[in-house]
Amino acid sequence: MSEMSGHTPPGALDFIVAGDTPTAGAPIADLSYRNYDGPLHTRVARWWIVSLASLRLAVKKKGFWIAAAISILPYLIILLQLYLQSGTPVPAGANPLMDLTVGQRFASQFFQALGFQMFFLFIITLLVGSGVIAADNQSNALLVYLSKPLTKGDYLLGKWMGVFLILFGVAFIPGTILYVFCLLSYYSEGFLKNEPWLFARMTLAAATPAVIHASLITGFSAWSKSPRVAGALYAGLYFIGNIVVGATWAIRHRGNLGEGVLERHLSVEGVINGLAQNLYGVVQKLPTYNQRTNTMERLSIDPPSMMVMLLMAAAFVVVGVGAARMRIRAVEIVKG
Amino acid sequence: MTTSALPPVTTARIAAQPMIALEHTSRWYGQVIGINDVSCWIGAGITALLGPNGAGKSTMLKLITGQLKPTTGHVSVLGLEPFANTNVFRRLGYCPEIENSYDDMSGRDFVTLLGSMAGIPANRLRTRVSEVIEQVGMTANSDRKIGGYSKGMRQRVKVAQAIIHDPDVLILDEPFNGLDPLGRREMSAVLHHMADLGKCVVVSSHILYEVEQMTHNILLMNRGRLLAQGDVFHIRSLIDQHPHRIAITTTDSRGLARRMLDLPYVLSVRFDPLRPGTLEIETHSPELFYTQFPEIVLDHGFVVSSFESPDNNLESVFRYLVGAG
Repeated sequence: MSEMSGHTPPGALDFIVAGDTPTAGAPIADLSYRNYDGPLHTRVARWWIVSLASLRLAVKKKGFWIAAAISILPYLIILLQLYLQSGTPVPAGANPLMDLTVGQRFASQFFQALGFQMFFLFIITLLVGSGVIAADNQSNALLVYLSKPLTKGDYLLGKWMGVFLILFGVAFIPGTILYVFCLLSYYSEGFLKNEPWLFARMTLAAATPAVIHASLITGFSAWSKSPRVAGALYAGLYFIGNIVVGATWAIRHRGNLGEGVLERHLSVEGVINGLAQNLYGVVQKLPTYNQRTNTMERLSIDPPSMMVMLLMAAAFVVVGVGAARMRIRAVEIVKG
Repeated sequence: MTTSALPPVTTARIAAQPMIALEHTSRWYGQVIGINDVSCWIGAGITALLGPNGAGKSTMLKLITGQLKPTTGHVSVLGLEPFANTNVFRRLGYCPEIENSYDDMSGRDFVTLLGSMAGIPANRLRTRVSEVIEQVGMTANSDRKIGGYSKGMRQRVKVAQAIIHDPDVLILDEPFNGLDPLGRREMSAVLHHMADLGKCVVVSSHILYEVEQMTHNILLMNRGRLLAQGDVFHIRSLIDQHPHRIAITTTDSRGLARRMLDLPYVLSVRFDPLRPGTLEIETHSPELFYTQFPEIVLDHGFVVSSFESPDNNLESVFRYLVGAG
C-alpha cells in the first residue's frame, strides 16, 4: 500500500500495474481521488502565467539564443569603437565615424546600433512569435486554456507580453550595457549633461520594435493554424512592404536620399526606424559625393514626421491586436 | 492576489439545487442547428450524455463550459451564467475530446501550467500536480514529452488537468477514448469517487457499454433535441412502442410457452432457433410479468436455467429513441 492509501475510498483501486500500461515500472500507484483543500487564487495579473509559459518556451529554443547573440553584436562593435577612440581622441569635425555635435554624439551611436539590430529583432520575432497563438490553434489548446479562470483578454495580453518582453529584453539589455559604458567613460566629458534623457530615449527606442513586432506577429499567429504559416505571412508583409516602399521611393525620387523621407518610412521597418530616429532626436548625416563641386559632402536627413510615424505605429498595434482578439476563441464556429 | 471568496460546495447544498440547468436553450450556427429548445437539469453524481454523431452533445458541453453563448434560453452552472465567466471556470473542470496537444511539453509541465491557470498557488502546485498525475496513473511517464505519449496517456493527462483544482462540476467529452480496459476501470473509479463526494460529473460518450457500467442516469440527445433524461431503466419502461423482450431458457420450453400465452399481458412467444430450449416473450407489462413469473415457475415445476431481458439496456433505449431500432 502506498503512503497515500489512507485516502483510499471504498472501491477505489490500488494496483500493481504491469505490462505496457502507463504506470509500468511504478510498483504501486495510488489511483484514488484526492481532494484539493488549498486556496484558489484570483490573480490580478492572470496574464502573467501565459507570458511566463511563452517566455519559457522561447528560451528553450536554440535559434533564439543564436539570433539574440548575433543581434547584440552591433552594440558591442560600437562599444569597441568608442573604447578605441577614447584612447586616441581626434579633433571635433575630423572624425568620419562620429557626429560630435552636442546631443547627437552618443544618441547617433545608439540609433545606429538599433538600426543594425533591426533585422535580427525581426528574425527573433519570427522565432518566438510566429507560434505564440498558432501553436495553440494547432493543438486546440485554447479549448483547455479558456476553460480555466482566464479571460480572452488575459490570454491575449499574456501572449503579447511574452513576445514583447523577449524583444524588449534583446534590445534593451545591450543598450543598457552600452549606456553604462558611456556613462563610465564619458562622464567627465559631459555625457550626462549633454544628453540627460538618453537612457529614457534608449528605453523607449528599445520598446518600439518590441511593441510593433509583438502586435503584428500576434495578429498573424492568431489567424494561423501553423507557426510556419504565421511566420511566412509576417515575413511576406515585412519584406514586400520594404520592397514596395523602397521601389516607389526610388522611382519617384530617383534615389535622392534627401527627398521623400516620409515615403521611405511607410513600411514596418521604416516606421520602427522613423520612430527610433525621432526618439533619439538624431539627424542622420550621410556622406555623399557632389558631382558639381567634385567633393564629398555630408547630407543631413531629418527624421520623418513623428505624428505620421506614431499614427502608423498605432495602426499596426490596433490592427495586430484587434485581429488577434477577433480570432481568439475556444471554439471554432463554422456557420452553415 | 486574492483568495477565492466563493463558498465551498457542500453535498447538502448541491443536493438541494441542480448544479447545471438549461432552460429552453437553443444554439444555432447560422442555418445549422446545434441544440434546439433543450431544457434539463443535472445534479450531483455521474450523468452520461449520449447521442449519435451530430446529436448536439458537443454543443451542449460547450454551452455548459461557457465556450459558447446560447442563441436563446439560459444556461446556468452552479447558479451562474457560464459564458466567459471566470467564477464558473474556477469550479469547473473540462476534459475536451481534442486529440492534439503540446507535443514538446512534458505531461507534468502541461498539468503544471494548467494548474497554475486554475489558480493553485505556487507553493502548493508541485504537490498537487504530483497527486493528480498519480491519480491518473501517469507518475512513471509524466516527465516524458507528450509527443511520445499513446492516445490513452494523452487522455489521462487531459483528465489530470481537468481535476487538478478539485472542481465541483467536471465535464468530460469522450474520456474513455484510447484507454485500455484497465485504464477505463481506473478512470471510472476516479469519476465514481468524485460523484460520491457530491460533485457533478457529466460524461459524453458513444461507448454505451462503458456508460452503462458507470451510471444509469442519462441524457439522450438526437438532432439537437433532448429525447430523454433520467434513469435508463425507467426510460425503457416508458417506451411502450417497443414491447419488452424477455428470454427464458428452460427444460420444458413448449410447456412454458403454453402457460405464457395464457397471460393477457404477454403479446407473443417465440422459440429461438439458435438456442434450443430458449423462448423469447414480448410484453408491455414487464413489472407484472416479473412479479408473476416466479409463481408460475414454482406452481408448474419448470426448471429455468437462464433468464434475461436483452433489450432492457442502454443500447436498446438508445436504439429505440433515436429511431434506429
